[in-house]
Amino acid sequence: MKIFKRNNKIRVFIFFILLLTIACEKVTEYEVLSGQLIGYVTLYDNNRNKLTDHSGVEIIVEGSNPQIKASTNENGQFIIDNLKSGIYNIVFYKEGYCQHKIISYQFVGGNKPATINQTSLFGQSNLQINSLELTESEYQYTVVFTVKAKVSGQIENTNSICRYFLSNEPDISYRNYISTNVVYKYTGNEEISFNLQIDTLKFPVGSELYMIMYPASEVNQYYTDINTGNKIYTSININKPSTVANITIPEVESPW
Amino acid sequence: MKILKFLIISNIFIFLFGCDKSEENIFLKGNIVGFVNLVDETGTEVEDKSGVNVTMEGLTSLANTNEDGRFEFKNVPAGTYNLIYNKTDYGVYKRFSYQFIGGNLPALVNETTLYEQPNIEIQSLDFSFNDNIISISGKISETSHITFQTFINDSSNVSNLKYDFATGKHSYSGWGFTEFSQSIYLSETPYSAGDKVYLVIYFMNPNEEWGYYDYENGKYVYTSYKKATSVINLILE
Repeated sequence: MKIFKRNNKIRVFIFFILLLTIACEKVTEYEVLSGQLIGYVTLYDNNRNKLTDHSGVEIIVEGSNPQIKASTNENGQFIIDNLKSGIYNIVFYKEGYCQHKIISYQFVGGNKPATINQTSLFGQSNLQINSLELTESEYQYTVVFTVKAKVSGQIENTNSICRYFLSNEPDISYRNYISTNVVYKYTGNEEISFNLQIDTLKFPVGSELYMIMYPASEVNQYYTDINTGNKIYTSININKPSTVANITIPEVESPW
Repeated sequence: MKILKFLIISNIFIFLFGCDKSEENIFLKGNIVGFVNLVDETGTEVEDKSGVNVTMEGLTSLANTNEDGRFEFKNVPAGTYNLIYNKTDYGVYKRFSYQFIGGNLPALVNETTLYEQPNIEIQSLDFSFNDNIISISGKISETSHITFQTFINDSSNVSNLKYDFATGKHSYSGWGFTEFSQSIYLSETPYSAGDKVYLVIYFMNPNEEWGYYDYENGKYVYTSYKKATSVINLILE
């Protein structure tokens, strides 16, 4: 202690360091804004009927460290406090519902809460696709296949939806495909049957076409896979895929 | 007192220079990912979407798309940017005022579509001014579809970005066209008889429905614009 009293230079040096620390801390605090994020989730059953209780949806903020979680109240509202400015993926999860994701959400932060677009979650379809079959259909000039799928479970639901995916590779799935579309299964039917016209620019003559089908609860919901650019449809039941059907693209008569 | 002086001065120095390094870091950084779609002259989506150059005004780095049309900028500081997409024979798309915050995960830019520029050549061109109508007619290499627009200005630097008057988008389709024509009524234009005007014609991809608004020039622009003629001057008499 005597040294400190005697040597002013040391005291000044310590003070200097102290000031530096305080000054730099202030700047660090200023570095990243934070704020509140509010969102709403609406729950629907697997027949697109809106529920009254929207609670129990788990929200996971991917990209936050440590990972932030929240859950919805009865109104479907969730609140995340002290979220730092940044880019996040927001995952919506509830047992028995199709998981959804909002990717690359840019959050600024500030004094007022930010609200994220209202999100809908759909109950997973219980439709079971028991078989999937592709056969050649006799059309002139264009490649057309007849698709037949036998289904069971929730067949009394009004217009159940199935989403099919097409690819030229056997490891086809809802993540790995070239094109996709939906078909409706009408009330009471135990079979889906439709004609599928093939774009021979995407699926050339002689190549093998692969198809897979999933029961779906809704048509449009998706997010973009940031690695491939593919749309990842989220309102399908990924646990209940059909078997993979395949067929060779036949030669067709030219109209010329 | 010496000490006090020293303290005050050091204090000022610390606040001015002490934290320079931190200040450079005020803005978050992050990656930006985007996808580009290509549509050819016939309206078909192109399989191989590689070779689109993407630049961000204000950054020196350049990105190129891969076969999926994907591009990525790494370690971009937060800010507002203009993204410029271009590919030879496909023209240019400009995305203005893209706001980027930065963070741990990449940001995704909305998909952009570039349309192939038409491969039509003008073989001869005629202009005339009669009965207060500017008539344009030309012979072209054979094509099944043609979409064009005429731009008029009172100075010779007329272009799709610099004009007083532009005609609507004109489209013809059918089999084996070899000529095209257009009539512009003087009353539609801001000009009067006796004025000297400059005209230029641009072709564009007929499948491009929506272009984009160029905020710098205040003009609506199609990505597939391709200058079809040199600038032609015409005295309206």
